[in-house]
Amino acid sequence: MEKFDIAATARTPHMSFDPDTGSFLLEGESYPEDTKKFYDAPLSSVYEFLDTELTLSAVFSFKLKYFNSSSAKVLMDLFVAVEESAQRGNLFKIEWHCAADDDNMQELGEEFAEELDKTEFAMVAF
Amino acid sequence: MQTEYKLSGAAFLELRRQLESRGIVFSYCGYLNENILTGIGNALQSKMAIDHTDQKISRGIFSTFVEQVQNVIRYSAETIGPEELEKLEQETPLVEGREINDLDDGELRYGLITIGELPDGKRFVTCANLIKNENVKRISESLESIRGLNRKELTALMREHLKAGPPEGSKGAGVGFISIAREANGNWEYDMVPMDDGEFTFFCLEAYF
Repeated sequence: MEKFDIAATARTPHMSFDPDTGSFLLEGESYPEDTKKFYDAPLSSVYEFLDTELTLSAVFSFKLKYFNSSSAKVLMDLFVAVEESAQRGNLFKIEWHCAADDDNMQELGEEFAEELDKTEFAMVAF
Repeated sequence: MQTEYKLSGAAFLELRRQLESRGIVFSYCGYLNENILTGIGNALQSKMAIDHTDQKISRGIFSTFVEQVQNVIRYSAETIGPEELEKLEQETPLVEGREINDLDDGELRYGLITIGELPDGKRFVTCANLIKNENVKRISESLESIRGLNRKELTALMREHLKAGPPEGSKGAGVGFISIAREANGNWEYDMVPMDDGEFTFFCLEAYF
């Protein structure tokens, strides 16, 4: 369960995670050449965190401007895993940030949030 | 005897005029890879910024462009590289630290992509590539099943499919078509042209904005 902070590139988002403070951030654009290669290693740390049985609290922030359909799959899996962990008693919150005029991103966030029950969800305009 | 080749500027200009007469602003025909996607994608974003294209429209166009090109890169039946790569994989013992995927970057797939504007101001992103005849039915059915669905319905469908996981044979999330149809708010068309060889079909998909 390692802390990481990966800088953005033209096609990949800024991604950071700190298990001590329970903060995860995904920010920017996501359409990697190889989605698995980009996400698998860092997210394994996050999944390990989600598997922890203690009562943890954490905030997962998404500030995405654009993501392709392969990245959508990564997001969906993460939402589902966060919810499963929340159902075991962890106190989780997901913040979905998007531009006030970006209904597209807003609709996607709302749709993903359909998976959530025990996880707090907040739509934040920037 | 070899016929002497002479450059004809007029013929080349004619090719440009044909593209322009169809409202095409960007066109690429040939082997594609992820670097081409990045390059054309950057130019496309710059052009739309210079033209002050509405943000929502330019986001939809860009997103569709990415999905379309990634479809070609993943699924076009016209490809060079894989046989050679497969042979290499089998013959070369895996060097420590090298992942099998490392060689995949050498693969090229053939396709066409055009982006432009119709006389009525409607913009289009069109993509075409060869598919094997055996896949025509599956792709047609998959597209017919989402015909007429609006954006809201497509968003919900996308979530269902993402949750269910990709179908067999998919190299992505299996929601590329849904994503394109969604971005275009249901305004899209496709066509299939059987090739003379009896093995392949020319598959075109066009989305409007």
